[in-house]
Amino acid sequence: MTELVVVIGLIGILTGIFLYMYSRSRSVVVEDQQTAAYYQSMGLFLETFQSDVRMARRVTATQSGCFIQVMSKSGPLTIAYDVYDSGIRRTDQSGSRNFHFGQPLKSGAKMIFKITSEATE
Amino acid sequence: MKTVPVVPFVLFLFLAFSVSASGEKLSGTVGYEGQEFQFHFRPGRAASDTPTFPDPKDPAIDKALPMPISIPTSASPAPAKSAGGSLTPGLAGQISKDGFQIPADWGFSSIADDIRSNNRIVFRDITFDYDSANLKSESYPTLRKLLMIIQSNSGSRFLIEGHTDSDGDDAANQKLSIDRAESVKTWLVSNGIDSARLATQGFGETKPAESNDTPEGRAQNRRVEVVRQ
Repeated sequence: MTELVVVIGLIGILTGIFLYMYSRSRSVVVEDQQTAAYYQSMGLFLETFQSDVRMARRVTATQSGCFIQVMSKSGPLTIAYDVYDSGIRRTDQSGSRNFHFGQPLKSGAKMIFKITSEATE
Repeated sequence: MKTVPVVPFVLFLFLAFSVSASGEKLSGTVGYEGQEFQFHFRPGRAASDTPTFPDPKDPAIDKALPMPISIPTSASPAPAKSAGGSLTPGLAGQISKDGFQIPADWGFSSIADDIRSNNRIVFRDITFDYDSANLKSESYPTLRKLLMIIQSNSGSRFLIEGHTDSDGDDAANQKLSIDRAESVKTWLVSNGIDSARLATQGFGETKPAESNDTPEGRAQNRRVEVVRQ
């Protein structure tokens, strides 16, 4: 009888450890996926933003982003960037494009997009 | 012993520093709180600070890309740093005092004027199927404009008003005007606008813009108005 109790106990402990390790690895995988998606989205966003900035004649900060005036091949063009819940929206005269950053790792964290002057002049 | 050309060398360093330090240097912060990135840039320059275009304040910027002759080509004045944190005085004539903005090159000048003068935009080219709240496909370009305005002013809330002409029953017109305003809201929400920023109201035939005695007047009265709140 004692042996049976010991065996059941051991099986219980081993199953618990296995389930804990499994759930832990799952949550790590999900977190890694979120982080990878976040950095990928960030890379895409920064690439687009830098490309716009490269042609910019003027950058105007707004409450939730900025306006960029660029001189494109077809003439002056204004591009608006503004924040929405989980990303940043780029709008120009031809339409909008959303850069979606997925869910924040820290629950309830707000999306930020601010442009500030470094005042070198 | 050779003389080291110190003065030209120092002069070169000074000039090089002056050129690299000219222009407005900006920094940005982007991302979720706790995961944010900081980046630095100068308008008109590549991220590496290598000038691929002339400095925006340099008149040579106007020759950097081919442009139609009709487009003004003078360089923008240097931005003034205001106490409110805005980097520049704004896109001249496009941003109202309370921050509402519609870039001029989007071609919405009449809408911008409406918004500036009375916070209200009247759309007569948002049209619906007869006696229905189904949007006609020819309404989409106008809805797209409205969408862009609302998207680029995320601090503002808007009231969508539906109006009808006097044809038909009063109660039916009232319901139809509500349904049409809701239909516009639904389209905007389905295109990414937060529904909490939009309210709807139907006025039926109670607020005609023109006389209902003529077909032209009635056409003017069948409309959607958007009020910035």
